[in-house]
Amino acid sequence: MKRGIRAIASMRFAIAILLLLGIGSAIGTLLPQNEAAAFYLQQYGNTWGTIIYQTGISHVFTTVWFAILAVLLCISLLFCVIFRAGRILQGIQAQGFKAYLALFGSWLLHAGILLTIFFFVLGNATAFEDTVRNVPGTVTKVEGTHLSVAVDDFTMDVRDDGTVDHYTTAARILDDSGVRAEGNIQVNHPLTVDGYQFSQNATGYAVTAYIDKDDEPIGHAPLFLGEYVTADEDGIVLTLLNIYPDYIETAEGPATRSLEMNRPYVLYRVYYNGQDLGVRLQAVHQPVHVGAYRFLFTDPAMSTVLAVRKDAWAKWTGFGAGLLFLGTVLVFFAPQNAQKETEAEE
Amino acid sequence: MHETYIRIENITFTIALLLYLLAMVLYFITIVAKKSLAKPARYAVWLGFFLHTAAIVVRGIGAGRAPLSNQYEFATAFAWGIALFFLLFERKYRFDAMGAFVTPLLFLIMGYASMLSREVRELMPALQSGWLVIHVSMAIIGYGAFAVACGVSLMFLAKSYSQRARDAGLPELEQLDRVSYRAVQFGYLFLTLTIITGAIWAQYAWGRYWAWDPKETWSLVTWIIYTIYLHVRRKNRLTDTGAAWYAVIGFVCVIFTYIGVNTLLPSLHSYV
Repeated sequence: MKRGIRAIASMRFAIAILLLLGIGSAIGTLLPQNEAAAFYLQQYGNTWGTIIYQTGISHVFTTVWFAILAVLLCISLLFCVIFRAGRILQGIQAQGFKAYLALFGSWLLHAGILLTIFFFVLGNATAFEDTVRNVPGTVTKVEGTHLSVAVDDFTMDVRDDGTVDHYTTAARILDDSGVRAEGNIQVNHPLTVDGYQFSQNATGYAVTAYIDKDDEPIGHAPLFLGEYVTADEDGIVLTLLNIYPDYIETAEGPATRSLEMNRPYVLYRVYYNGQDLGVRLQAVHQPVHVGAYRFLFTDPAMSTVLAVRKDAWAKWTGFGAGLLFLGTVLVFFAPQNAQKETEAEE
Repeated sequence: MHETYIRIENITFTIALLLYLLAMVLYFITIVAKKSLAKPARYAVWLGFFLHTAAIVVRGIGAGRAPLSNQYEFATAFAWGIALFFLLFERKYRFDAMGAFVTPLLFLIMGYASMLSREVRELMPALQSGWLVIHVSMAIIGYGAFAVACGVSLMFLAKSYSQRARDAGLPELEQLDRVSYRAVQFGYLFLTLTIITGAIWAQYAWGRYWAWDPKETWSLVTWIIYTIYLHVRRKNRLTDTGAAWYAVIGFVCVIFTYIGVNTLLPSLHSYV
């Protein structure tokens, strides 16, 4: 038992785990992550595709083996920190704090790494994460929280050269008691309420789809880019693929002259009674007939996508990182006398 | 950017590049032909560094922002960091051969910068943050220190493996090890700061301080390699070449983090 603990606390063990974590992390960046099994089979063939998916190389950072490696590193660091603490305390009592500053820094560095990993894992395991899509003038409940987002306006400031200067969402964050926060959300300028951070994440388009059957309205719903609406128990399904605000036909296909909604056209896919009728292009406000159904796209608008995240442990991860940094400064730049003695003893 | 600024930047950058090349050749002659040309080589680096600084400052003034936001700007700043650390270490430890191993890295990065587009572009929304300057400055200093550590570790390896290198009058292994270790210490400290400041910035920009983005992950891989270097060196100081190899591998990771990730892997950092 004692020998096992000593082995886990050893530098050799920690280095081996670090090396494996490094190799695993590198692989995680070299292979596309979190795709469906079919993707890997298609890209790498049956044998390699199966190996990649089954071993978890397709989703390295959420695999059991990656988690086990992180836990082993934490255990190793924990033993290392505990064992060293007693020795350093004894040394400080005998020779004073200054002589042991570098060794204390080394201890702090290891404790900092331990806390950073621990709170990172804890934070990710317990974090709330969602995205909210809105068009101006709408209110959307953030599911799983007590908050809603009201978007009053969304603007995209474009420079003369066509590049984007700012995406700005004028938003109010609401709960049962009323408005909790109000302001412009931009990239680098989030809005935070009760630990929930609302960040400008993306932009897109949306329309409202009206669907009739036998000339009777059967529903209408906002339709965001990449999403679908369905009605009459999937009798009709519409997927929004793109919107051309200022539509123009070119040799390469449909395009837009500007971002102004001068001549909006909708690119969509339609399924009728389970049958894929293909991709179609349609001007807004012009009805389309498919069998007994009639549908119509209205109110084309830019939509804003806000990322909502709450990580109750982020500050503690920051605390761990702070200790890590402070420890690094001390271990490298404080007097090394005691450290050399301890190394010699080791 | 105004035409005058572009012209001044181009001239100062090009002369700096040529001076670094000249320094590299002079340092080579110094160790290969054993002719003492280290002094003019050192002057060439100093002058190159001065003009290089001027090129960066002029670009910053012309662009109206810190010139740290695209591949070219980071490459030239990276080379500037290498030159800075080389001059500091060369001044402190005073051995001429260091130049023969570090100036090629400096020239390589500078040469890479010279092949990139120098067009000044406005900042995209994610880069419009005060954290840009802090985060990238930390990276430049850290990477510069790692380049020096790599050059000195290459000397260590050359001296360990080659009789010819031993005959060339390279410094003692102990001194090389000490200099490399000091450079890695600086680099490690600033790489740690780079990762921490990047995480804080990511929290503001994207609401998530760590997302396993390739750039983040490769910074972590680099940090892991240098962590291993520090431990291996502590255990086996001068008895084998392990630590020196880790210092070289670490710098390969630095280069991959900077160039490889941007060109080969899809990343949120594709603009840097």
